[in-house]
Amino acid sequence: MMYMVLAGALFGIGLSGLFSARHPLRKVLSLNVLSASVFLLLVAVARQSEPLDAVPHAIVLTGIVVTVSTTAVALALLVRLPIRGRQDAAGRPKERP
Amino acid sequence: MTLGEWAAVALVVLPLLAAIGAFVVPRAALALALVAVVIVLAAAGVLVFQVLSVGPWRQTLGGWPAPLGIAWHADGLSGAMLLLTAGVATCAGAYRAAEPGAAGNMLVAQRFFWPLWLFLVAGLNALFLSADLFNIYVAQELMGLSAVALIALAVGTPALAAAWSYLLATLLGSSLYLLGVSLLYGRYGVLDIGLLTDVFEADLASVLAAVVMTLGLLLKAAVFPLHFWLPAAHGKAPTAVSAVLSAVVVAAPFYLAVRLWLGPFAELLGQGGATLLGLLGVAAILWGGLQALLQRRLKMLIAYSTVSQFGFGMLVFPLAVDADSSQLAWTGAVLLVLAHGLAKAALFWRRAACC
Amino acid sequence: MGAVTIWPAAVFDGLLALALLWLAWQATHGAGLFRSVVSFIVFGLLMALAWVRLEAPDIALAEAAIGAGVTGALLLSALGRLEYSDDRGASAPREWWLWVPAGLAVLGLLAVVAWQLPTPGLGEHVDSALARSGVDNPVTAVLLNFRAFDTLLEVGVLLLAAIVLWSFGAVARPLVPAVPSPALPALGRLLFPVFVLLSVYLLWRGSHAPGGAFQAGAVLGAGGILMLLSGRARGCPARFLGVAFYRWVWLVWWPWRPGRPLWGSVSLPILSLGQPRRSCCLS
Repeated sequence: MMYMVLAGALFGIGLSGLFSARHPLRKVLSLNVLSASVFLLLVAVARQSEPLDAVPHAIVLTGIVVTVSTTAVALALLVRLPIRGRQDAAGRPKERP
Repeated sequence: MTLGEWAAVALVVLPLLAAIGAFVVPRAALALALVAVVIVLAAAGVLVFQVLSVGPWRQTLGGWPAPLGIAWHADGLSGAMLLLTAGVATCAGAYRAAEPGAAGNMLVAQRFFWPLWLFLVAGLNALFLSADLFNIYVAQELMGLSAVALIALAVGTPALAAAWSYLLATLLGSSLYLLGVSLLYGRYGVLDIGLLTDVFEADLASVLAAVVMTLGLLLKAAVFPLHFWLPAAHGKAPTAVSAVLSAVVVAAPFYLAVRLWLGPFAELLGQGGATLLGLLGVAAILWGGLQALLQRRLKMLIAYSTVSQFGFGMLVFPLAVDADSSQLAWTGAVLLVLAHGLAKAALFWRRAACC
Repeated sequence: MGAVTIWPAAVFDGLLALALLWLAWQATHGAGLFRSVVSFIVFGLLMALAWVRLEAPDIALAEAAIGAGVTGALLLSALGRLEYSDDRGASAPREWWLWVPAGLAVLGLLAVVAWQLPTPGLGEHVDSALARSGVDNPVTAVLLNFRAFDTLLEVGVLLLAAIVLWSFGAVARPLVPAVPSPALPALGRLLFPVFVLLSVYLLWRGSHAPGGAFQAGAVLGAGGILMLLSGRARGCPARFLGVAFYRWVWLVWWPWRPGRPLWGSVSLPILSLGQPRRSCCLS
């Protein structure tokens, strides 16, 4: 089943993105790609079984809500995080209150 | 409903309800939280007493038995963890309530501390009770998110950075864990740990699932090469939080690893898994101990000692391979986690009291 | 004949897979943060197509609303608060000669394993218990009945996320819409009733067909975001959607809901925009 292989490849992309990315926002994107790939694997598994299996569908729905919650928290933390090397127009490192 | 069932329901639902209550009515937050956590302590005691007198306890939720529904399971291991959680949480709550300055100036932190802390307790209890792999994933997220927020409550940029790296580590750990769960589901079509134990075979898919799940859990438990996030997170958090983090939150994924390797993955222990995990443990003991010696701040020293102590915990895997000594090894591991939890929590509080 | 009917589907799947791979690569490794975020949003939309191909319409609905919609809005609002000029994309990791072969080996292993999974599944169990569950849609039955405890904890996670966002406090730099459009407020006012209607329909539909409170909540949440964004442009018509109101409605409703995080998914995106009520009224 092609979608299972696709899930594996997406997992690899997400993982490499997580480790190579400099910007924290990109790390959040990578984590989202990672979880999307796991969900894809689950649903591809459900597609293969006979009769069609609803449990992975429900699990993935729950997982999507959990992921969006964690993404929201991660983004909220991210915008409060000082980013190393960031400078303002005058070239001084910026202070965050 | 029997007393044990009431106790289990109270363990999970009460902290959730109390968290909502504490959030809506901040003035009553302190009282609500303390009452809830004392009841949770009593419920954990009841459950442990039941396990000791009757034996392992199991309950299907909603009347749907295992392959379809979710089950709760309590045995000696989860009972000990529940009791440890409730005990440390009660002490941490009392410490926080008595902390000088906690009532006054830090209004925001005060307002949000109790709901988050109750969510943490609820997530931990759900994790220790559940016998369902996916349910445990959701419980882990509940626990991880509240832990991240509690770390971030400490004022200042270092705490935010520590919370951020802990968040990344815990999310990556969860993804790896979930990947393993999906592989296992694709292979066997069950999510219940007990049923999985019956059907587990050591083939390629199962081994790969075991490897990724263990990696994810070790990352969350900060076992040696994956410990990078721990010292900052535990060193920078508010003191009451540091204690709970070191005593229980790190122990939870370790508990899960033990639960999995004791149950479904037991077959893999003899095939090199035990040696590998044991070697990681040895490295953790040495590295954590060395780093702890080099620290100048007491809080960081305590944090690095956590890395080292969980290295000792990892030694349970090679010790348990031998059938004669395995029972003794598991008992030892449980005692180690309990003793470490109590000692580490006490150390954090003592440090705060003296300097 | 059989081969002729199968080919278009296989070609479509292949193109979809390639597009997903490329977008995922753009999102994680491409140059420019804005481009990455947009790639990720398109990635979410194409994932919805993939769910349709995998016969999971419930997830497709949820992914389109949540994965692309709400997550996209969250990402863009976070991006609006960052100065993203400093990002030139991820450079290749220095140890690439170590990482690339190792990654390919793991990938190959994963692919082989996934290919050989026997996938027994629980379909028969679900089907046999469906009659006793009280609904016709198997996914709803699993979510609200068989695995309702998962759903309870999930609502807990949503609620927790909302509280966590709140606990971080207001951001120093509020969101500044890049292009204040005069048409947006009118559009928001016009469309909000449609969003409400659509979400009620999805809620009702969920008992017997793909849909349900989850997707309904997502649609309502998207409508709320639109109102909020449009409200920012001219005064404060979004005030009746304000946080205080929602918190109370949500907390009163939450325990009585059969289990799906309807109000939770509404409140989360609104909360995550920082402190909308305050910043809105200051502007």
